[in-house]
Amino acid sequence: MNKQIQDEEKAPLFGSWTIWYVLVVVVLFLLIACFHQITKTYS
Amino acid sequence: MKPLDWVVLIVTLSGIILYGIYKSRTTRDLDGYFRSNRSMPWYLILLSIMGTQASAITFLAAPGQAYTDGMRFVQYYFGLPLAAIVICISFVPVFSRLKVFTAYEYLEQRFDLKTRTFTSFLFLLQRGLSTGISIYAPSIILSVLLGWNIYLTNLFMGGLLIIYTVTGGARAVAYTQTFQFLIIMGAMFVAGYYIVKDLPPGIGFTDALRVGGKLGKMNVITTGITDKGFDWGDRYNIFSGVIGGFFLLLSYFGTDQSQVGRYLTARNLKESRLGLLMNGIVKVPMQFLILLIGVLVFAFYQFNKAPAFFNELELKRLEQSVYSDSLHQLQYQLEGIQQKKDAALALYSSERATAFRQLQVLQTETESVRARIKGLVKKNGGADNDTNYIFLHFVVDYLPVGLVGLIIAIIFLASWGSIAAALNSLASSTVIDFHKRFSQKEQPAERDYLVSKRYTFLWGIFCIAVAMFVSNWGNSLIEVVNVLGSLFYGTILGIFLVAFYSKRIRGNAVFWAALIAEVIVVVLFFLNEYGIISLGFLWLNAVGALLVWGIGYLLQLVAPQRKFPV
Repeated sequence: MNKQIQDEEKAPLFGSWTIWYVLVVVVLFLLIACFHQITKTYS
Repeated sequence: MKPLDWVVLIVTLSGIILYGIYKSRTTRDLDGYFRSNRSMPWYLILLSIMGTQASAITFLAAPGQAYTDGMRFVQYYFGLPLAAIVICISFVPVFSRLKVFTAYEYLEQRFDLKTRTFTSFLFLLQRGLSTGISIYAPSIILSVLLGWNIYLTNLFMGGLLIIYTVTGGARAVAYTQTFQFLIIMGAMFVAGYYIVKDLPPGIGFTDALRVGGKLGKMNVITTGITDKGFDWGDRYNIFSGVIGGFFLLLSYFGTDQSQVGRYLTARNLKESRLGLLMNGIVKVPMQFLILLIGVLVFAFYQFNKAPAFFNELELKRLEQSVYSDSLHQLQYQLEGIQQKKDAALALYSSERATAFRQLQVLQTETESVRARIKGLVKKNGGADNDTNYIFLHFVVDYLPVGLVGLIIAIIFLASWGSIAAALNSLASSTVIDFHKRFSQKEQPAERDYLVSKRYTFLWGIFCIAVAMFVSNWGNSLIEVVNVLGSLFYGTILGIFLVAFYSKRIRGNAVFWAALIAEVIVVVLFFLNEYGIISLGFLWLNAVGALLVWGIGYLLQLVAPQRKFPV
C-alpha cells in the first residue's frame, strides 16, 4: 500500500519534484529575459 | 455575420454541448458531481485549469487591453509559476491527503468552524460577482452583433449557461474545457495569421511589431520606476507582477474553489502537481501571444481607418443625440489624422525614423480626439469604455466568412468553460461548507446530488443579476475581474498561509485578524479610488495576506489563552 502511494507521488521524468520546481523557475527567467529583449528591440 | 458564420457557430456550440452531456455520465452523488470520482489525468487537469482561468474575458478584453495600454499586462502573470510551486509543495499534498471537497473544509480542521465559514463566504461573494462579469462578456457580442438590448442578452446568455452547467457536473466541465481550449488556441492563431496577412503589401509581422513598439505598445517589461522613485500606483510592472501577481495567483490557484475544485478531480497527487506545474510553464507565453494579437490589431489600424468608437451601439446613440454635430466634427478630425498617418507610413520603407516621429505625434492627436469622443459618450449617458469591443470589432469587419463564426464560437466556449467551473465551485462550497455543514442531517446520495444541482441553478440566477450592472466598470473587464479578486484574495490567502506555515496562531486570532485585514484592504482600495493614496490593485493581495499574518501573530501574542468574542 505504502509503495503504491510512493509510486503515485513520485515525480515523472526527473524522479524529483525539486528538479521540476527549478525547471519552472528557469523557464520563467528565460521568458523574462526574452521579453526584456523584445521590449528593447521594438520600443 | 454571413449564413456560413451562423452555421459554424451553431455547429460548434451544439457539438460542445452534446460532447459535454455525453461525458457527464458519473455516479449520481457528491463525489461524482463535484470531484468527478477523482479520476482525471494531468493533461486534463492542465487544460481544465487553463480553461477555468481563460474565460471569454481573456479573449475579448486582453487584445483590447494591449491595444490601449500595451503588452505590459503580461507581467501580471509572472507570479504564476512561483505560485504554482508553492501550491505544489504546501497546498496540494494537504488537500489530497484529507480528500476534501472544498479547500475551506481544511480550515475547520486547522482552526475552527467560524474561520472556515468566513473564508468560504468571502470566496462565494468574490466568485459570484466575478462570474457575473464573465456572463456579461459574451453578452456584449450578441448585443453588438444582433442589436439586442444588453440586459435581455444577459438573461438569454445566462439561461443557456445554467442549463448546460446544472446538467454538467465536474466531469463534463473538465472534458468540455479540454476540447474548448484546443479550438480556442487554434482559432486565435488563425486570427493572428489573418491580421498579418491583411497588412499592406511590404509590411510584415516584424514591421507591425515595430510600428506598435514605437507607439508604446511593446512595453512588455516595465519597472514602474520614475524620476520620483518607484510608482506604487503603477498597475503593471515587473515588481507588482512578480510580487503582487504571486500573492494574487497563489490565492487564486491555492484557495479559490473554482481552481482547487479542478485539481481535486485528479486521480492522485502526482497528476495534480503535474497539471499545476505545466500551467506555470505554458500560461505566461500563452497570455503573451493573446496580448500580441492586440498589438497586431493596433498596428493594423494604423494602416486602416479605425472606428471613432468601437462600441457601435453607443456610437449610434450618440449620432442620434444632441451631440451629433460635435461627434461629426471629431470624426472629421480623425479622418484628417488618418490621411496624415497614411502619408507618414508611405515614408516607412525609405525614411523610417521620420515616419515613426510623425506617427508618434499623430497617435497623441488620435488619443486626444478619442478621449473627447469618449467624453461625449459619457455626457450622453452611455458607457465610455470601448476596450472590450476592439478585438470583436476587428473580427466582424475584417476576418473571412466562416472564421468570424468560429471566433464568436470560441468566445462562447471560453465563457461557458470558465462559468461552468465557477458555478460548479460556488455550488460545491454552498453545499459542503454551508448546507451540509449546518443542516447536520444525513441524506441519501441521490438527494445530495439533486440539492447540488439546485444550488448550481440558484447561483446561475445570482450571476445573471450581477451581469446586469457591470457595463461600465473599470478600464476593461479583465481588469475588473482582477481588481475584484484583489479585494478578497489577500485575506483568504493570509488565512491559508497562517494555516500552513504558522502553527502558533490559533483559530480566534486568525479569524479576527482576517476580519480586520479585510476592512483595511477595502479602505485602502477606496482611498486609492478617491485619489487620497496611490496604490496599484495588485499590491492589495500582498497587503491583505501580510496583514492577516501580522495581526494574527500580534493577537496570539497579546492574548494567547483568551477566547475572543464570536
